[in-house]
Amino acid sequence: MWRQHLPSLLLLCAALCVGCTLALSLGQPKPLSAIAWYDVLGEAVTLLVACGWLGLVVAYRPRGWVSHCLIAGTGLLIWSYALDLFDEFFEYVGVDHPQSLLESAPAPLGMLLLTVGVAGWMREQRIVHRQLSGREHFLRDHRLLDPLTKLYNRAYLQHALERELELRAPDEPLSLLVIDVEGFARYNHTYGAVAGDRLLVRISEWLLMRMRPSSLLCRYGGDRFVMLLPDTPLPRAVRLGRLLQDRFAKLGDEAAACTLRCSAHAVDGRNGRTAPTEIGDALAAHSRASRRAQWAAAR
Amino acid sequence: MTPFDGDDKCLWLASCGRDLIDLCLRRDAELHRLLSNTRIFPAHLAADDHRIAGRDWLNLVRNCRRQVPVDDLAFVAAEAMLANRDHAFLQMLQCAPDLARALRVWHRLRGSFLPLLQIGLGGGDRELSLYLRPAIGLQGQDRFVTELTISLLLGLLRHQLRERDPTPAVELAWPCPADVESYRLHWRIEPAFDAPVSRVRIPYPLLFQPFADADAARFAALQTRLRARLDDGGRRVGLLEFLRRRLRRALPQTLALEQAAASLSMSRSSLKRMLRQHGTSYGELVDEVRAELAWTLLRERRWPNPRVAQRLGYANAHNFRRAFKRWTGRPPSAALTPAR
Repeated sequence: MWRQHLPSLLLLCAALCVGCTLALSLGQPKPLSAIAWYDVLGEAVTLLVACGWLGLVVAYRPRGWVSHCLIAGTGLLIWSYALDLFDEFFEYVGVDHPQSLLESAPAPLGMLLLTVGVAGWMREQRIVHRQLSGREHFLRDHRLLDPLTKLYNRAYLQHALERELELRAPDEPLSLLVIDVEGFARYNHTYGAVAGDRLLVRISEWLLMRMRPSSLLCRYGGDRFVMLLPDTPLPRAVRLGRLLQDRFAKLGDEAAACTLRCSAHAVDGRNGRTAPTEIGDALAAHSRASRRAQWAAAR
Repeated sequence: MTPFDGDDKCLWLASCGRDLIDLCLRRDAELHRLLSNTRIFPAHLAADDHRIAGRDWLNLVRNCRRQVPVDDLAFVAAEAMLANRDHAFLQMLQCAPDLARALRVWHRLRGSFLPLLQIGLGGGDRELSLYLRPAIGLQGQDRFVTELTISLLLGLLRHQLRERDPTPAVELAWPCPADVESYRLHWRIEPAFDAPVSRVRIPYPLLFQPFADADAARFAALQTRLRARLDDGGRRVGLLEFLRRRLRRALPQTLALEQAAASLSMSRSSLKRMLRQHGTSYGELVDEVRAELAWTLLRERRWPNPRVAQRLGYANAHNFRRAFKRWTGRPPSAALTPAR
């Protein structure tokens, strides 16, 4: 980030050089016995702290008027403190007025600029925070997270699909991938609930690692996950599902008792179909394709 | 035998609470919040024979639901309990020879595991009905306790029966929630809602299919162990269950409030107050018992109205019809058509 500030830094260096040259050329060195070492120590530390501020601003601030104010303010302070340090070592005879003006005038000006800069920084933070919280107002609701896997839950999936249907371009493809962990109930029953929970967390992490950043993985409930794939045509979603199934089968160890069963569904939201009906249809199709013994639905 | 109340220590923490607490801890709940207001201390969790009161367990459930706000807590808790190898009661059910024996032992030894629901039996032509009613006031946790119990029963069937045909059916006594996916995912059954009483209907053939993990020796050994533990702590039923059984036995006479209070050796007004604390009243209990018997007789035994009226202690069929309409909103003839 510091490269953005190169011009300001060069300007500051040049100003410091001029200051040093002036001080050196106008002053006479003091004898060692006349130097007040406690003053030197105090002024040197102040100078170093000011340099530290400059370093922080340069390292972490993007370019902009707030950064310019902060850099100029600290620069002036550094200039002032440096000259202050010099006059511990040099004596100025006869040129009293210009030197003291050069030394003391920049400090209050620098403080003023710093104050303006910090005020601007705070305002900027407030705006950034407001924008973030507006953008993810429901992302921050903990009730939309599954406490075990830390994935988003069923309610969030519905919100996300609604937004996706609303905001996407008319011909942008959108797919849902339903993922069941077959054999999970048996695994849970055989190895106990602790092992079962651990397996679910592991599978969710495994799935997270294998999806694109733009996709959304939700824990639908029990042993079922649903992945929302924006900008993905159905064939690609089908391919992804098959890939996950194959890779999972080769995973080995404790996951060997289970298999994944994925099915992909295109979502178009046409004819006024809402997010809940789309999800319901996808799941109904998923269950129809299932060989899992379903106890009969409503009779 | 005196019935137990919410304050009597009649539940074993190890069998009713430990799995639930562990489950919530794995879902980031904090132990001190789970145990707040429950009179359970962390040291009790390790003890095998620590007993807690029904009220404390219900508070624990309330805390768990607050700390882990998911809608399938009861279902997951049931799975965890069934998978727990140290859970003597549920292990015993799982090594029973078949469901009929498992249910019989469940009923006989119910005192050793969660006796907060009264499980009443009714029989039709093709299926056995299990009616689930609170045995004491459940302080708003009725739904959790009912879901937990039904999940245990269905989980038992799913793990032990190879053939899933015919299928059991579930009717629940609360209105249909906005989201029924949890029921579909965990029970793989679509339950019916708004029933007068929660019940599970089990087709007779399921009762006699042999269990996959049947083990006669272990079944007997676990039964002996639990029976010994129960004899230690006394076999007691919940207050509401006790009164319902008294009322049912007294039919066609209606047991007066004074008589019921006398059998509990308490005064009329203290029984009334106690029932209010349990969220019900004596009149409601009388109606419940009559309504249940009426349903059974009409639907399962096909008795005509006058005969049912006589059995329930009504002067004539007309009075019975009116009472039946008050309980269910439908005339008795509607009871003969199967539920939606």
